[in-house]
Amino acid sequence: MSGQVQGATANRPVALSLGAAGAANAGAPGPLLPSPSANAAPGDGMALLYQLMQKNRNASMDAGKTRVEQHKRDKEIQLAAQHKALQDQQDAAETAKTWGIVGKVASVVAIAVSAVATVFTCGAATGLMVASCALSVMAFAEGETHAIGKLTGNEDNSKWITLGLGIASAICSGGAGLASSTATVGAKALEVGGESAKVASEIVGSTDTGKEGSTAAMVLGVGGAVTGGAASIGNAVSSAGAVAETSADGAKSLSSAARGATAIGHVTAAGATVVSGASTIVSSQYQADSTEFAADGKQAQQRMASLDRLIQWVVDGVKETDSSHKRAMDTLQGAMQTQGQTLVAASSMRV
Amino acid sequence: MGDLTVGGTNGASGLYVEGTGTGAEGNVAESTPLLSAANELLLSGDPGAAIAALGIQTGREQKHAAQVQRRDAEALEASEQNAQIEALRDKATLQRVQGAVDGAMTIGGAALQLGSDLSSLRSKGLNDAASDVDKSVDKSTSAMNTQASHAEATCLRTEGNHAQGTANWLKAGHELNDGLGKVGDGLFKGAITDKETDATVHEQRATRARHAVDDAMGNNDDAKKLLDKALDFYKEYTGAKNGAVSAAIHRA
Repeated sequence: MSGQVQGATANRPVALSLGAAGAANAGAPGPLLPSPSANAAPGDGMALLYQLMQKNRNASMDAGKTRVEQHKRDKEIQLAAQHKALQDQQDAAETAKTWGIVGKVASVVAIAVSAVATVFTCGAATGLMVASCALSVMAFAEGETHAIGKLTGNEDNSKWITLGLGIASAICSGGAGLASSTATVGAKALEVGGESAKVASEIVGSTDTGKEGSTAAMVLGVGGAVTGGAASIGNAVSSAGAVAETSADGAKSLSSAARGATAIGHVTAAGATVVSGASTIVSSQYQADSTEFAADGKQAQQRMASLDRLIQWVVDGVKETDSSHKRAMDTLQGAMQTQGQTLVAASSMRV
Repeated sequence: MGDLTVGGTNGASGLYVEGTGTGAEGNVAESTPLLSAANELLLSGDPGAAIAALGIQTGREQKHAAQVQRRDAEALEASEQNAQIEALRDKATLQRVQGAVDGAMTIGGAALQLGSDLSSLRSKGLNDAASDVDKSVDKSTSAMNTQASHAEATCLRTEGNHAQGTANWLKAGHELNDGLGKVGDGLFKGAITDKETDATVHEQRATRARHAVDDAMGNNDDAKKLLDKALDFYKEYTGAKNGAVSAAIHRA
């Protein structure tokens, strides 16, 4: 509904259009101002104008209140969304971390088994290989859970035990290799030493052992590379020599049982690598989910900030509009008083 | 006073009152009645009215400029925030692809490695068998048997060499797979880092835009104060003038 009312204030026409919002809330109670002429005479334009302005003022206040409440509801929705996104992000990050640990363990197992399987001939090497794998897993478990550190109340213990387990695993791995090697002992020892260093480097580098751990991992990695290179040279030299060739032939003469065990070792290593790859895929998906949830949380946070500002602006706008209405009504009230005084003066004037 | 229009439907919020300032949510629409009235005052020849009109005009222009500035800054902020979220989502997508490619390469590498190892093992077995045959040849006395054994050993060695060749090819494939995996991994990690950087840059730009919005709000408040002062001045001026006229009439 809209209506046009022509009134007169200060000798100028006033055009007023009351919108739908104002009409809808016309019956709403006013804030403080009295209604001077609720039963205004049909011909009293200024009184009617005042009444309409007052209703419009009330409508403005109501509309502002409604908007603020709506924004508050939206903000609550965004707050819930942000809370959920943060929770989901945390869950996804935890799951990704778990899968990452699985992948690392599988990776280390694959490296250890592969190192032993390369020179595998059964016998004493079997036990050592199993011990190496077990120690690797223990090192990872301790590195991730810090159980011993928590039990003893000293995180350093956990760090050094992880490091010690990693090195012990490497030694077992190397021992398994040496035990299985019957020819070109020097080259094989170097080869196994290199692999062991790689295993230890992998373990130490994958676990949170601080600066010392990083340094140890780096040293072990370099050591692995150097010994691996030396092993390659040693193998080349040994294969060039006749004596070494004979020894190598002997070494190659694996029994069928040893070959079967070696094949099992290779299959186990491949299986562990496949598990590592699969866990990499799963972990990355959860990691990506975590990033997505973080983005959702950020978006909800931005919307909340925007709604906060919007609420502030609505409140400011309502205040400004209300004061504007008040000024206009004061002016109109003054004009009405002047008109009344003029009428009184005119009626009391002697002719 | 000028024309006064109280709009229930004007403005975005339905709270906008033309001639009195912005709506509840600060829409930029401006009315002309007050400006035309100010122009009339400016040209009225009354110095007080002219000063008030100038103040009103300046305030209105300042307010309008602040509102435009705020609107632009808000649009920029929203745009930068959207870009930040988009960059984060792109990063997530890259993480997914990187993980899938990395895992697939690892699994493929494991298959190639296994194939290489088993082929190599088979080759060794065949060569060992050939050596066994050769050793048995030394003990044999029959020439026919010797020839047959040599042929068998040769066949075994040929097959062994073939298996070793296959193992070598598979090993090469494994190494190539590893190399490609590392290259791909590096590229993906670089792209992910780029997206992270993009997100950070957009966040910083959004923050700057937010500061610009705050500045514009400050300018808007200043303009409102200027308008209020101009109106107050005119009110006082008019009151004093009317008082002087009344006093002159009474004296007369």
